Amino acid sequence: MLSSLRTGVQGLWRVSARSLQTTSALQHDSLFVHRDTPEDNSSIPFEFSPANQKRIDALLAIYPEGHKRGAMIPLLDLAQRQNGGWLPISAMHKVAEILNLPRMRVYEVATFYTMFIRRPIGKYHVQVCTTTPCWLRGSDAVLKAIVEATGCQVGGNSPCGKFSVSEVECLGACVNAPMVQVNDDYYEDLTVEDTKEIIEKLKKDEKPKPGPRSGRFAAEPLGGLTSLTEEPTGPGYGLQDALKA
Amino acid sequence: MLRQPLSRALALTSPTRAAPLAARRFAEQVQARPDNVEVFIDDQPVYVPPGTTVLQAAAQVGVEIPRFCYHERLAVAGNCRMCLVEVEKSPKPVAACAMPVMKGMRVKTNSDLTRKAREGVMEFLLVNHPLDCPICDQGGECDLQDQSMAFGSDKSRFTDIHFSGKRAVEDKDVGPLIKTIMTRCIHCTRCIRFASEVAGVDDFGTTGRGTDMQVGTYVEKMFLSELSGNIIDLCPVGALTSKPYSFAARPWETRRIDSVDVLDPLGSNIVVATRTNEVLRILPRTNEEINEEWLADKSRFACDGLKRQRLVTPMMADSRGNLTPCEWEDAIVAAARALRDCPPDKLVAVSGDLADAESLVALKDLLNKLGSENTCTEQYFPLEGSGIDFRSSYLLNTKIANVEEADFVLLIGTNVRFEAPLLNARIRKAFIHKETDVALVGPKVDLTYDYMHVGDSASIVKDLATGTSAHEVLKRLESAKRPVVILGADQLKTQEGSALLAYTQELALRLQDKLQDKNWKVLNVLQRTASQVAALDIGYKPGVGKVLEAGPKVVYLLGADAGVVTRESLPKDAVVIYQGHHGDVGAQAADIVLPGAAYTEKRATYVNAEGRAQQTLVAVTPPGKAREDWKIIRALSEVVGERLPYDNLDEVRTRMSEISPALVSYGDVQDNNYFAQARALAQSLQKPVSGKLDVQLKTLEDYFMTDSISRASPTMAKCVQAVLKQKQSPY
Amino acid sequence: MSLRLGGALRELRIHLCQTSKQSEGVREFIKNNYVNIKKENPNFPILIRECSGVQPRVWARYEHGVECCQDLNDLTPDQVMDVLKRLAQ
Repeated sequence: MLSSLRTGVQGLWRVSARSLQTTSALQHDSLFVHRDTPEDNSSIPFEFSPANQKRIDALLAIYPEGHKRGAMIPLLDLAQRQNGGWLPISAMHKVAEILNLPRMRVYEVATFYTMFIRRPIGKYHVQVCTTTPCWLRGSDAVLKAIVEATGCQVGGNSPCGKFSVSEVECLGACVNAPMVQVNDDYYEDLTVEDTKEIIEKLKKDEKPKPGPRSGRFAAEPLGGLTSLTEEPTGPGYGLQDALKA
Repeated sequence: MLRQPLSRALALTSPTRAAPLAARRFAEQVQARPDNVEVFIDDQPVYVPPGTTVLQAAAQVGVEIPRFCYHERLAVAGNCRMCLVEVEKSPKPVAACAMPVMKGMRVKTNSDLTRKAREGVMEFLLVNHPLDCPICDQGGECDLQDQSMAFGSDKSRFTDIHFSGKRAVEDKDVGPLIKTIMTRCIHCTRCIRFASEVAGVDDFGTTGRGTDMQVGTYVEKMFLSELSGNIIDLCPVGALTSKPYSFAARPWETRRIDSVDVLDPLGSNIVVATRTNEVLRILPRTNEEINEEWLADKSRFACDGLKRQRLVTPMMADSRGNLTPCEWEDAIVAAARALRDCPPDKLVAVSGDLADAESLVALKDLLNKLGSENTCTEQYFPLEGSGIDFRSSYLLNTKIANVEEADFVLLIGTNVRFEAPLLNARIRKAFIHKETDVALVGPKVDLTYDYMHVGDSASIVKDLATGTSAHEVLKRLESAKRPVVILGADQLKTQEGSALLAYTQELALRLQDKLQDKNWKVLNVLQRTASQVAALDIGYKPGVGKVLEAGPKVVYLLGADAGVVTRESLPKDAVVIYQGHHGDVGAQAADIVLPGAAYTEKRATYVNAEGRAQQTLVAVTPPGKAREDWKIIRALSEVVGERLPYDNLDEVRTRMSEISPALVSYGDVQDNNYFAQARALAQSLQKPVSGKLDVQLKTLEDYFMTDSISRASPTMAKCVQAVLKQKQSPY
Repeated sequence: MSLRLGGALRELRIHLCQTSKQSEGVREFIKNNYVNIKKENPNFPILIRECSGVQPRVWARYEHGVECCQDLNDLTPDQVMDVLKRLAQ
């Protein structure tokens, strides 16, 4: 509102003795305070499933007495997975209860890490890497294709509720740029067609084949190995004669 | 320049944080004196125990290193980086607040590197700090302002306003007392550490990270602590300010007068800030032995009750029973006539919560001269056995500061958290740092620390005293080297009160006799009001039950607003004379009202719960026709015909020293003895007890309005509303 | 030793120091005799007010606020008892 006011005012004043001072609004895509919504409020009960309970017991056993709070991140991740990819506030309360910690400590951890999503998210959370290597290799087009195919705004949820698209920082698959991560799988070496294909498959609830789409297995060069082409040398390689046993 | 005076930093440099020796005989857990380490601060050698930080060592030399996040009474955070100093042989500057000294360390606090570091840190802090100084309440007492003038650079290089711009953060709503403008927050985390360590309410934290980091409660939650106002003092910038005091005054306009708080029995030292004869705000004064540097919320924020519901003119009841204003002469003459015509045994005086020692002495002298012995206090204390003969029966014998050294605390029928918040803070300090355990006999309340709940029936005390209890608390008490038993004075007002006191005395003395440390006292009785100890010292008989039964004809209420004496409990023709400062319960019942002065308006003596006499000083003048209390009684005595032998404050204090010399030894606390004698007399009172112990102040909303000043305060009313509203919220 | 307190005498206040030599007698007196005196006069206020550094004294308050003070400096417990007996008449 203030920035539109600024442009409006600056248009009116030809010669402004003092321009309207505003600061640009650089905002994060997630909110760092909690607002109660119908989907996410503390009266919605959250309980860990029995299978997860067993996992929790195993996780807690890793940490010695007095240091159980080390299990907070695994427990929050477990809660997030159980809840379909996002962390409701009641799950944070439950984790606080299990670890016997004040709730604020759990809020602090949950807001610090960007992988904890604190708003309802679609079934398929498509995370597009747009950092330098991927950007150089055309992540803009990939992102545009995803947005068109899912009908979802970046940072939001799709109308059908199945997809959420977000731009994320480097996912560590720079050799296979451009790439996207959908839930736990990486889809790498993408072209626009590959992207559309992936989204179509996801719409039908089929799992596309994760990994590079260009035909290679992982991050090896497409045309075959350019190094490590021979058998490895054995012990004593390059050793001077005097030292050879 | 820095908010906290250097003397405080100096006093707290040693690891044992020694307070004056008289109160801290038990501080030494250190077995042998460790070898001091030599450190050079700016080429000046200083010898410090190992474990002190560079910042503390520099303070010993007199060098103040600037800092925002470091606070002597909180854990070290080291996140502001303002205390960076150059240490020789270190490639990077070192955070002085966190670096322990090493032998031969050479620290340069004024070198180029140090100065550059400070200027750099200050520049970064100011990048995201809004240009709010003109509208910020902290202006004039702001650490950021002071340190940027002293240590910051004169030029700004911030030209980014149209691109990334300055960060802006939403304000948080943490209650009616604290105004939060989180854009100004520099993330020093002092409030978080205070809430977590001292207040015990872990509601503050940092959410997000980097530029988006916000300090707050994440969910919209009120900061439900009785010590919440202290974060206003702690915050070095104007992010957390006092809501009732917002936009009221600049610190240089105010006059600051040292005084003592009377809204709770501990007598915390305060500074009353006034401007044009109006009390603007109340701040704490450091006193290591009572309140350290904290102040409870009621004492801090109830000062706006001093402006409302005040009695400003003498009043007399007219023919229809309505109080109408009149002149002083008329009121005094009418009161004197009533006093003179009254048969001595039907003349009663009742002292209230906030009565000061001078007026208590004057009133007792007047009544004694008129032949009456019926001077009472509203608050009851059992008179059977040794009664109030020994001071040790009704005081906190383990002084407030020494409670920190205890290794086991037994609370009987008292919610220390709301009755004496700063005593609770001490117990919590012992709980955290010394692993003290606490047990509670009484209703289960939230004390901000874990305790063993032994139960709530009075017979538990009997079992503990006689050694027949099966609970493990008995074993813990008997094996503790420094046990403390705190009994709430409220429990003594029932029929079983004297028996309860007798059992507690028995228990405490049994434990005390076995202790190795002959100077450690176990028995403590926590009074509820600031005036009770002085009244008992002077010889007032606690409790009005007996005198009311006799059907008094004239009742003189000295600020008695607890509602213990009501019109219905008196005979129809009784004359009630009320002398006080607020039109509360007592004035409603009165026939003659004599307006007195509140604690900020008179120079008066109050004795706190440990028996320490302190004086309040005159900060503002009493409103309207109100006068100082003892002077009213002196004038009354003149007209009655029994003139009191003192005409000025010094003479009154001489008289007070004749009654009890401890009343005028200001600032000192006495060691009281004769526990054995008190117990000997109490043995016959050890009857079976069967009741349940209950406390008056159970939850936070009960805490705010307990006496005439806080009941008249709109801020306190807002607090009660806010707490009730927060209770509805799920967080 | 019996001590009847009452009649015109309304209140006794004893000031003493907890540690000084001069108050030694008073301290002993209270330690040994207070309980008996109080048992004989259960409703009579005998206020013991300790303060470090004061001279030991006893103040007796009679009817109509008349007070009398006696110095108890360096007295033995028996002498203290005598003083009290005199004051009680």
